[in-house]
Amino acid sequence: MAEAPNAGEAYRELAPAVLGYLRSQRVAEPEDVLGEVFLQVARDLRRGRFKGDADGLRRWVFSIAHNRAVDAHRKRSRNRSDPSDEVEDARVADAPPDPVDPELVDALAALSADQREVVLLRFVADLPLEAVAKVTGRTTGAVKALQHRALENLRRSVSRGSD
Amino acid sequence: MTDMYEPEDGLTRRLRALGELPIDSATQSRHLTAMAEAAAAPSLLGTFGNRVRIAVALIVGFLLGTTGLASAGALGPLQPIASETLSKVGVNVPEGDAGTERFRGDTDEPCADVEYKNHGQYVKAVRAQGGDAAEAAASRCGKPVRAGEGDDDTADAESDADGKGGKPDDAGKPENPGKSEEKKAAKADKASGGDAAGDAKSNADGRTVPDGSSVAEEKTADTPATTRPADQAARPSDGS
Repeated sequence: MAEAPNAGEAYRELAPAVLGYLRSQRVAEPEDVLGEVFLQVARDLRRGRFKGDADGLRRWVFSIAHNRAVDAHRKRSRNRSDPSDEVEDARVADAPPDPVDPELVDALAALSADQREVVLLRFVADLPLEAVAKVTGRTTGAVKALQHRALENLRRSVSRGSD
Repeated sequence: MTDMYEPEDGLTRRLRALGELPIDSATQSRHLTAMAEAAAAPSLLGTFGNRVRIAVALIVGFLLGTTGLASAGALGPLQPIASETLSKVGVNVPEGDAGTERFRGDTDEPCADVEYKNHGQYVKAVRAQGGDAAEAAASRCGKPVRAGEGDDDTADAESDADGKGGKPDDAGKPENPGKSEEKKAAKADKASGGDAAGDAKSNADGRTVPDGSSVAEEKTADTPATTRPADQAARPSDGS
């Protein structure tokens, strides 16, 4: 029987990728959301809700991160009429440029939500196609198609930006 | 994890680099501390064993509570059921009386031979049989046996004696008990076009009294004139 993964080790190994995923999804306060994600990971590990290997752990952690990102976007779009949310929108808009690759993150923002989701889970989270399909609730074929179109669009945007 | 659809190139390398930026130590430390606290916090419903223990405690608590109420005879209409059920497992509790015990009459104060469940029904039944409803209303028939028992009488007697408290005999009764009867009579007369209706119309303020005289007349007769009395008017003021 495989030993249950340790929450601290999972954090050290996966937190940079999760933070990059959340930042690229333009989630407001990505560091706070990262903390929430791993808090849930720690609680669920203690309750024995996860059983699997390292690949399974990666997919599970990114499922939680994905759900948090979806919740954050849904909340923002639902409360768009709420004046307090305008402050949050402004915070997202005024957020400092991505510390790694601002041009690429801007190009990602121009993609459709489906394409961006797939390409981030595939390359930032480094999940295989099948895992992305499971996390997003799509078929592997649909994920492949979305990934293909997303990369095409990104290439066009990035090359246009560098011209 | 490269597949045949997207060979590794500059774009995919840039995408992967987005997830490789290390987290600053302060944020990392904050998160790890919160995670350690969450992992250390006891969870009441966390494990299956705990859930079973809580369920057992709830069931035992329910059984103890129910049995306690049953043995105190405080389950009301469920008391006979509880008594029967518990007797099967060897626990004896009172059978109860399936409701409040009510006064059914005795040698001092007999009740009429009518069917009733409470005092209101008793009065109604007596009236329906053509009996004296007022007497029925004044009786204890159909009232809970325990009502009015205990030390209250003594307390009332004491308070009546010193005149400081207690409920007066006519407490709660209307000031003019005959008025409703008069109103009914007036209504009946009005319906039949009788004199009372005519009298009421002819009165200045439209109010009638039992003998047909107006309230205005009563006022004139009983109350002094609103003008200042003669002796008071004649008395000179002290200041002037």
